[in-house]
Amino acid sequence: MVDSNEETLFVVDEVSDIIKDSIEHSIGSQLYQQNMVNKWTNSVVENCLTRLCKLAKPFKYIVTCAIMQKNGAGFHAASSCYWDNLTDGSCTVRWENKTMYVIVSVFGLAI
Amino acid sequence: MSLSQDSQTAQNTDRSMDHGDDETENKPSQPSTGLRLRPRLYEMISKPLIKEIIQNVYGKHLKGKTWKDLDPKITCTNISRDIEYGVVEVYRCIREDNKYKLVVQTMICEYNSQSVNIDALCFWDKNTDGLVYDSYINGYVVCYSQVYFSYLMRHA
Repeated sequence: MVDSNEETLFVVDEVSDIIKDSIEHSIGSQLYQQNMVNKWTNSVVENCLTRLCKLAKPFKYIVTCAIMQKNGAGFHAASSCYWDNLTDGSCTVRWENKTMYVIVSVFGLAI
Repeated sequence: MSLSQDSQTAQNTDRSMDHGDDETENKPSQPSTGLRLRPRLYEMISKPLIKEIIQNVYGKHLKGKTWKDLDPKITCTNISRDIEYGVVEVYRCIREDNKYKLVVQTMICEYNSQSVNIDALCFWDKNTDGLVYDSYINGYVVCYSQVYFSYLMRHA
């Protein structure tokens, strides 16, 4: 039986908004600073996960955040999942400013 | 009670799952309604083995390659897919019994003396779920892969 209730589904738009808010909240308009990057990545994943948990949905969550300094080097990310397509989902947001790329991915695994 | 089922009962359950409805000669096993909270011993995932699979895939796709030699988009996807296939192929508990969910994430970038920071945070059961990661650097390319596996509380 497939539960189509939105309260138990991974809603990509909702998660995407959470990710974007978390990035804006943690990094905002700041430019790349080497000594701040660890703090930013920590802050983004913690902020995301806290807000995801507040949704109170029956999911396990995996949140990853990568920040790369922009200096002309190429950067690609890909994921491959073995799960239930009906219940599980993922959302990836790419964010950039003049000095850095930020890629945040959230994977939701239904319990 | 369902948590303390012995391995013999477990074997029977698995066998009936393998052969589906075609196997009618088996003794009818009682349907179980409980949850198994921990994987059985033979269902445990070995982290060093997954690391070896990741390293083999790196060797196949990236050894001796420069950034210009490869199409990063295709290579990145292929590395993720091959790691997933490799892990699924090794573990019967993933392949046939669907006891685990698996997420493989790969990031690849050109080596240009830039800084890359990656962080992850998970909301899961730390006793049953886990993460394996490995990276590859050859002077032209930096590749980083993470394999997350999560146990499903099903089929007591």
